[in-house]
Amino acid sequence: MGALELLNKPGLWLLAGLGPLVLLYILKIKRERVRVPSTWLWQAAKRDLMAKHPFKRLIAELPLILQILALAALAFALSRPAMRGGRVQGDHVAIVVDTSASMGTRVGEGPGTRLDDAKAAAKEVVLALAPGSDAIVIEAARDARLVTPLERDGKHLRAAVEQLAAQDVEGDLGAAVALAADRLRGLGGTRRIVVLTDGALARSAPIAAAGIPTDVRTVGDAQENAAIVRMDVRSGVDPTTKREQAQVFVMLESFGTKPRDLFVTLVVDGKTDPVASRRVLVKPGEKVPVVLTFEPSAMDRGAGLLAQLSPKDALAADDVAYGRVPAGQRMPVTLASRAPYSWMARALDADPQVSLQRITVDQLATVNVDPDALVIVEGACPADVPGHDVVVVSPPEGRCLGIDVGAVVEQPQVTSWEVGDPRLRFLTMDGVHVSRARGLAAQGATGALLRAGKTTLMADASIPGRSATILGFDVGDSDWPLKASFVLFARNLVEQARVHRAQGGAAPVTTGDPLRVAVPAGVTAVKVEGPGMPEREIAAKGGFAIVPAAPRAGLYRVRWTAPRVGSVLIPANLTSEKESDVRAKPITVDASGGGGAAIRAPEPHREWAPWLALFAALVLALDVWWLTRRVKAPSPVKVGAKIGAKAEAKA
Amino acid sequence: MTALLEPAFLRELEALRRRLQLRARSGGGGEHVGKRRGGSAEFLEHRAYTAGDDLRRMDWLAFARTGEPVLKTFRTEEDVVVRLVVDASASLDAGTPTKLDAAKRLAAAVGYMALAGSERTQVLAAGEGLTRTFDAARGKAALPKVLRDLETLQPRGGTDLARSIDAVLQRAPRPGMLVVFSDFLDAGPFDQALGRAKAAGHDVAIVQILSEEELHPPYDGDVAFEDAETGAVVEVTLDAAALAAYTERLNGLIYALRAVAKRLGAPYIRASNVEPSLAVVRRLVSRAVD
Repeated sequence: MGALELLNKPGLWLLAGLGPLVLLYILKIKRERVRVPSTWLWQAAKRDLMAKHPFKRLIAELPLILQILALAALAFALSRPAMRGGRVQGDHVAIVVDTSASMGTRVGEGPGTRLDDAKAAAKEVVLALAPGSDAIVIEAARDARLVTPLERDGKHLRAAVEQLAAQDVEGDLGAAVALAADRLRGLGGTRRIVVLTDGALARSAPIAAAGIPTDVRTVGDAQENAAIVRMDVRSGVDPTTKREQAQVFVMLESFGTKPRDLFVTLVVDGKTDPVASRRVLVKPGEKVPVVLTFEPSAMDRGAGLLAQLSPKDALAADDVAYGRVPAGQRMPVTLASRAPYSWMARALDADPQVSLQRITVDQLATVNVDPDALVIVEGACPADVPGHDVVVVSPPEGRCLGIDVGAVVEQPQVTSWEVGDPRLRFLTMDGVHVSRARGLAAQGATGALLRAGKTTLMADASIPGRSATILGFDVGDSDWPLKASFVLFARNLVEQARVHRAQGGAAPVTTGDPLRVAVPAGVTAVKVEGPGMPEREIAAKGGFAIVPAAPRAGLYRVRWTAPRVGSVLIPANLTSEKESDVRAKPITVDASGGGGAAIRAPEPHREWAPWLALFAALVLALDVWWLTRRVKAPSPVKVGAKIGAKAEAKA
Repeated sequence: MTALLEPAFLRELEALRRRLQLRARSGGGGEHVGKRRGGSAEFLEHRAYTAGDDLRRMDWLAFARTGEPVLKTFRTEEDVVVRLVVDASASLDAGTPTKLDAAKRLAAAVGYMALAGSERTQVLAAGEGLTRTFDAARGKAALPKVLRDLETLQPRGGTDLARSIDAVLQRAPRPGMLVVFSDFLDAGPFDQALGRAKAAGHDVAIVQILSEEELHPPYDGDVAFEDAETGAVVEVTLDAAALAAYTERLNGLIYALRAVAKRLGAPYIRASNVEPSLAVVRRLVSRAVD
């Protein structure tokens, strides 16, 4: 037998009638006035004699008890208590519970979700286990997870089921069933897999149970759902006003059967006022792109950005998507040079979207440099360079950013360059003459960006998370500054740095994926916190930190304190068309290995309401009989024997 | 005679009156032998002569034989004052006939038997104190007066039996028989007052008269009882539990009166207002304790 369920919990509100019922018993009532010789004996009779108080003491009278029983029975009858019958066959049972995002879909109009139904069904399965049989519980989210090993204790199994929560991820039911089959394969006796899912599967491949009898039970009902299935944020310029703005691209899709009149609203994280909003009519099955723009303030740049869909529908997880307010178009560039005049500074000054900071090489360690800045160092190669992307021009002989800088080469002839590299895009080095340069030992086939025969004049020294370029000659020792390609080169460096800055150390991720966060070199540990994830410390190595999969959509903040303080905000979104499509899809089970499969809805309930109502009627009938029966006064002598005996003893 | 004593009832009383035991002596000359020394013909004892003794009481023969002057003493012959204390409070005005009517009839019966035995009879009305006191009368010829005294009693006011009995004791220098007719629905210390009466030499008799409504309450449902004496209202829901509680309290009172009677060696008669008076008088004459 399954656990007792209340199909209509609001029926229990009838129990509120117990209060008035008891009140009726303690409230004073209008009485017939009778003149008697003396009230002395009545006064001493300890019954209903509280003349000055609004209430009398509650006495457990039979009619009151009967009426409470009848009312309670009626309340429980209205709440429709029911149980599901049947016993699960099998010595070893694997209970696979789908915890993908679609399981968070609301059921009916109440607060319960499909996962709540699945958990209730899983508990019923636990209760229905045959004596002596054991079970495992497996969670089917992005990855399959064994919640509890083989367990006979129903209490532990139910506790394991209870701790399951829907995640904002695409589910992989097939992997979970495969894990269940793998766990059961080596066990003797009869085996069975019970799958509890809503049928809204992201992967349509048949579920392979490797010959183990599989019982798929579906939960949930048909619901209307609309979702944000994609969100992109970038910085742009208003073509009319020529002012810088944030441009947000949102793709809406309806998975319902009726047209939806929706509002898409942009809100900066931590603020309540929306920055942009748009009303959209979405037809059933239609995809509608929406572009929203706003002009962010300086304080908003880098902050979280929420695109919200309203009114909310059955699945809340896909009604909001997260992004990051892009940084401004003006790119911070720091130029550290030993010489007072710099051709590079001249080229950068010509770009209106560049904010140039000029310092000496020695000031690199002391001046506050923007962590997203492009840093250009001329004539030196410091060990620790702040900022993000870095360019070293004319380094001294020795080791620089992992590249060996060689001796001076006189009159090197430029022979080739990497046209596919973003730094050398759209430019030609034909006709550029270099009077003297230092040879660079480039790493790998693509490490050499500019070559003069066998000598590398420009090399890529990038490390994961940081772009680095080494130019082996002083541009003043060449005629390159006199050519347009030099200006283009400078622009390409800035544009690449701008792209890297827009990514903010990590691009937006999909929930369920691990977060790959680029951090400055030298950072050994970061702290991460986000929705449903308490702050935890993660090791970083080689300019990267890998944060475990984000189970919830939202904004994850990664921060570090050494060698310099910094942080990055990473949006994680569900944005899955398959998961947002909460309509039930056909489930196929690969029965090629034998064993058989059954796909069914949960067994019908056996309701107790009629029996409870009958019980209430019988109790009420008994109450009526009791109240209308003729009261016979007890024999005076027998009743007073106790008091008399005391009086006589006293005498 | 009157409505209180019909001829048939009188004939029965005449037969019963010789069985009436009057244990108290009031000290006056009468037909009952007293415990004290007195002037009757019944020898009591000898005692030594002391100066001032009446020489006429000297037993000269004994003096001749013994040489010691001794006196012969004799018992006194005393009468008995029968005091009929009738509770005439408002609570006695209940039932058909009323409890007061029943009390008057019983008091008349006792009064008749006393007068027929040449005793003195006095009617006293009790309420919140001693409300009326009539003169004592003696002999059968005084019967009409006693009956008139009784018939003048009307129910009114509250009850304080203890105060009433104490008032009787203060006004009665000679003890006698003290018969109290009441419903005893009184929370006061009447038992202590009865004890003081006994200590003063009175022969106490307790006659409790209750109405049928008090013995077997005919009420049902939600009732507000109003006290006939005080006007106090007590609200009661009359179900089996309430009736049981009332009956328990009533029997507590009955057993308490029975205990008082046993302690004082007094008869205790409990009568209903509709009970035949002759049966009650028979139990009283036999000094029964109901």
